[in-house]
Amino acid sequence: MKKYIKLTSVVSFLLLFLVATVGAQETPESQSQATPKQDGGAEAVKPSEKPDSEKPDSEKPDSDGEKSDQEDKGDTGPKQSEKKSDSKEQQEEEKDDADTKSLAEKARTSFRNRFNSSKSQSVSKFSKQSDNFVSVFEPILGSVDASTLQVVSGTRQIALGTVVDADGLVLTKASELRGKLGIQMADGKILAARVIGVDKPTDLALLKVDASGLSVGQWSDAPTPQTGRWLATPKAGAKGKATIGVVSVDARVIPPSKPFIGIMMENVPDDKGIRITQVISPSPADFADVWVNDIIFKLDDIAIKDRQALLDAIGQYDVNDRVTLGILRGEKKMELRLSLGEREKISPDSKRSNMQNSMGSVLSSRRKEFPMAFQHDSMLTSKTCGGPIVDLSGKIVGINIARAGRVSSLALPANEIRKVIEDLKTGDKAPEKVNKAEIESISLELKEMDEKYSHLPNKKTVLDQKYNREDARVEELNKSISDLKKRLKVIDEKKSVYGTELKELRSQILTVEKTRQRLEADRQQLRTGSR
Amino acid sequence: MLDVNKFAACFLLCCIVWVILPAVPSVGQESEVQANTTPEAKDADFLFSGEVPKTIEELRQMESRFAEISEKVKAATVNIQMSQSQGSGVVVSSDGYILTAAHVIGDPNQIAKITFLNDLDENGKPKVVFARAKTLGVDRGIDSGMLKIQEKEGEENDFPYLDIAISNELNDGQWVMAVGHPGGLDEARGMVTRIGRILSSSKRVIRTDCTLVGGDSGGPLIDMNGDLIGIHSRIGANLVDNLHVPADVYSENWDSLANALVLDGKPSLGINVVDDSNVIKEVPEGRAADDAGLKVGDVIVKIDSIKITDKASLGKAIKELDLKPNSKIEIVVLREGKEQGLELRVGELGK
Repeated sequence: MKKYIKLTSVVSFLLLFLVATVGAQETPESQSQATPKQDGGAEAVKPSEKPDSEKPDSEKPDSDGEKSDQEDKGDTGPKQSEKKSDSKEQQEEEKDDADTKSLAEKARTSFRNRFNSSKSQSVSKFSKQSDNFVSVFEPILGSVDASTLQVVSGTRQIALGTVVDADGLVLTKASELRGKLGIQMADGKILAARVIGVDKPTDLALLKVDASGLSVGQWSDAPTPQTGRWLATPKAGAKGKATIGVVSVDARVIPPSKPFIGIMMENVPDDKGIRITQVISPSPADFADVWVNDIIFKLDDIAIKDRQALLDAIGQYDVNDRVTLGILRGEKKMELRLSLGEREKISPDSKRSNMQNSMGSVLSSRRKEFPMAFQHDSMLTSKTCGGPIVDLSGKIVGINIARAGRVSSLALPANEIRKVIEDLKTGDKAPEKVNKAEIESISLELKEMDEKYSHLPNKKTVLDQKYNREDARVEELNKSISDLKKRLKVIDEKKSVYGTELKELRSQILTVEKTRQRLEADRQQLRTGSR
Repeated sequence: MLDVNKFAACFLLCCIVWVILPAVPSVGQESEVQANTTPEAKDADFLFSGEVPKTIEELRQMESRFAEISEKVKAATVNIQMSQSQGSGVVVSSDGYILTAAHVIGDPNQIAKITFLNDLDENGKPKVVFARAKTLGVDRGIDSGMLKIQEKEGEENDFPYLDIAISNELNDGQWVMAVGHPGGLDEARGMVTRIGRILSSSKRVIRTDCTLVGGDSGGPLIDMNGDLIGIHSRIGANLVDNLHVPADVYSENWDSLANALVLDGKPSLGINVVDDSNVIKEVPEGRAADDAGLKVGDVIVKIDSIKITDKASLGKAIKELDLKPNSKIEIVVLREGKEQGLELRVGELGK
């Protein structure tokens, strides 16, 4: 009972606090003001947001809103899972709850659990990932299961792949590819794979493996499924199970990240630009050494007279574009160059939203900017993208291309990517061709760097020598110190001996003196005859 | 003082709600709920019983059900923009009462900008309609909140709305739909639909596997009749930890919410006891116990019909009685060897 009270009181404090956080939220004079505040709304009960002063003694960090009602736990507890694996996961979940782990650790653990068991979040026999529900989809998954393979780096799964040609062509998500690529076949064997084509806009890559007679799934000719249609992402290999969801949002263009330079600002009188009130660190502005109180009056050739002008100007660029800021620092005019960053990664406003979106999910690193995608609520991870997704016909209606957030997975509609796949097969989109310009530009940059910094090795030698010389001197001095210390010790010892001798001598002198005085006195008495 | 706070704060969260639903919530949704339940429910019982469909055909039936209800749900679901925060909400009466989460609106009597995104214009683009609403009551303990639309652009005040279902009859495994504006209002994207199941439910919270994220707060959780059963509130670390405030909580507190009261909801007796005993150590002036005439040294022996023997049983009694601020209880104390009954009006923590 006591423990119960404590636990629930913890939650009450959490709840109190989260309500408080909304009220306390400021809207800084920042770029963020131009768009509606996006992350002030829903709240997660999060350990990281709790000030110490509000912690009762008994408190444990507790991120599970579930605990806000212990009756719940009691309700779900006794209902034993039928499947052994399920109950094991349940135990693991509860263990996690009890631990005082950081959220990041929790996320990692939960990810490990999922990864190991190749299934996502089936912690309740009532969830839509429960075995008895997923098995309803089995009749339609038969053929497409065989055409869904794991893409591995070494032996680790990094994505799923979709067989698009029986002779070893596998479609997958390009930006997840790294290291020694392979495809794990149905029998568990890993075959080496190489990238024969990359399409940047869709983030699709075509892999070639030395295999034939692979099973190819059937593609749907029907219109792209609309909101509320069932979807299934097949399992890859013998283990695991399909992931079920529905279309959450009809197919649409997924916009790119908004560019962001990483400053808070205020208007300057007379439309003379904007004054920087804060530089977010790290951010492009921070790297470019922009200072607080600098005034931005120009961006490339665009005059900046106020906040809105700067926001509009930045809005015309893309992330990673390089721009030059005209800056007034005190009396001095200067130009600073920087490349624009992603708002989602830099803005402090986005932190909470990023945090919530990562709760329970490992997101794809590329999850924005697709020419067309439909959003669904299947609980994928970054490692289960790249594979096919089917509707109730069992035909492939899309390729999962990103785990984009806690509530959002994205799939490229089959109808939109047929041509892309054909193009990838031709070899015209081989990575060395697609990236030709970038490769050349980097090579050029490297060459320039070599030239520009060719003097650096010499300088290093000189510095090395100087450094070594100083080292030698230090060593010498250390030796002298140790010699002096020895000498000091000898002197100290001598001093102590002299001291003893001196003392004895003094006492001898004293004795002699006394004897002498006595004798003199005796003599005197004898002389005077007083004795 | 901290002790008193902690103690009293526990009470609310410990409460099991025994209270029976008020006969009719003031807008009279209840009868309508019953009116449109039965016929469809019959041919697809598994949608409500917590079972799963058995065939692909039944999955297709579910799809048509989703399509039927989602139109209605989206028409009634709104975005709520406050000066410092954003969330979702759902209209539950034709005259424009909106239910949401307390943490979306914060305080009563604030102005909220409401956005409807339901219809499509002639180009197939979402038609954005704005309205102004005033925030009404909140219960921050359970995270419920209410608003009322004051005026809507170019339209009569006759709003599309959802009926409120009874949320104490939910089955684990029951199919549900969640709608909202996750990540904030995005006109190009529109609302986001999720389908899931009830993983557990109690009087105070419903847990589903409809994933939620910031911006969804206040949005509707609905059953397969398209009736409101909960309001999105908060999430935990796992994807299956999505928590919703049950609809009954709103029906029960309808009058308080509509009258713009702040139900902080943490009941306080206004006493402090000696250690773990039932002996009163302190009676802060002006608090509930003081008003009721309790004195330092009184030994609490009974609250209503529940016997009190120590601090723990006191806490348990408050939980079992589901005490709310302003509710009245009879408290029996032992004073100078005699039992004495006093009427106590439960106070509110921090007031």
